[in-house]
Amino acid sequence: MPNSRQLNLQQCIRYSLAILFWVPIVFFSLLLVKNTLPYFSFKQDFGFIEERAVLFLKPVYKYSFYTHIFAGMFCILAALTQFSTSLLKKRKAIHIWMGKVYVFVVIVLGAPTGLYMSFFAKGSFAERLLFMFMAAYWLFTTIKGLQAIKLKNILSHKNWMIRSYSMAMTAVSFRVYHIIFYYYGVGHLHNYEISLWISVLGNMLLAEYFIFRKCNNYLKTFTQ
Amino acid sequence: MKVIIYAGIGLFSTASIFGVADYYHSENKGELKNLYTESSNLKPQNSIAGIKEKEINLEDYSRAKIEESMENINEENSFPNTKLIEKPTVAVSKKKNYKRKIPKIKLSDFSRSALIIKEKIPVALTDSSIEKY
Repeated sequence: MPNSRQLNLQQCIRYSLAILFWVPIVFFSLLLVKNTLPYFSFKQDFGFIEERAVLFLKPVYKYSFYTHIFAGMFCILAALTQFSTSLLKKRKAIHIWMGKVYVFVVIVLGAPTGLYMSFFAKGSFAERLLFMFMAAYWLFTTIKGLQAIKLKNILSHKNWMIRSYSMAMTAVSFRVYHIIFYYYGVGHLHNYEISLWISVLGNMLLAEYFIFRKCNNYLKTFTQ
Repeated sequence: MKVIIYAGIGLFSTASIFGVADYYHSENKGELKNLYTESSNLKPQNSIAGIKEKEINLEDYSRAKIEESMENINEENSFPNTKLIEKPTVAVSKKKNYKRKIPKIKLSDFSRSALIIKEKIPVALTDSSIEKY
């Protein structure tokens, strides 16, 4: 049996790893929100809009875009509060209300607008299909997470919400990979496609790894 | 809860149907042909209004022509009392710098828009600049 010093060391390592994992996530999430805010000046002189100038002539696409980024902002901010165990224990109401915001924003605003925009996404047909899959998977996992908590199945709720959050975080991870590949001189279109695939598949795999580990730890509690 | 789920599924279905219809409508109209063309972003910087670009004939700058013109200078415009001093030529090794340009990354680059390396494009030769030489 480990002594108290060993337990302290284990706890210290666990906290350090948690900080190393969450600090970049929080920083990049807030940076994404900060960089989204200027779009609400409704000016057209942004690189993203200039590239899609033809599409922005369509009112449906234009409104979908603004709805999507508005939803994305709230989704990312709301999700940041959902994984704190101390917040869940001490202020459960915050977890519940932020969860409701997240679910509403994803199901009603984010996923449908994302799906519509995916038809006109940059890249080949495969990238468009990937965007469609992302929108569908995001909607499906969020609905499953909501249904699980209504049935008081907390473990299942956590697992589905991790999957849903992994899809929301593709927006952040895509940008990180995009900058890394840009730094190494990869051409824009290749960079865009590679970053997109890595961010989606990477996040899905990472989510499944966390779920596997969480379930393993949960099952171990029965054997102890 | 059910209202949100049904609303979401309804909106999602509408988006998929409308997306397909709109995509084919736009494609038939030919609106998607010029989509994501990077020519608008990568306009060469030397195409500034007011600067005339002159076509350069390689024949005018050939070694034979230059040597011929140098001979003319020596014969016609040489000074009688001056001596030509031959300076020893020094071999200069030209080491090319193969260091890759590291692009500067700003926090505002954290977006989905295209990140394009802005390279310095040499300024176009103008009439006046050619006359100087």
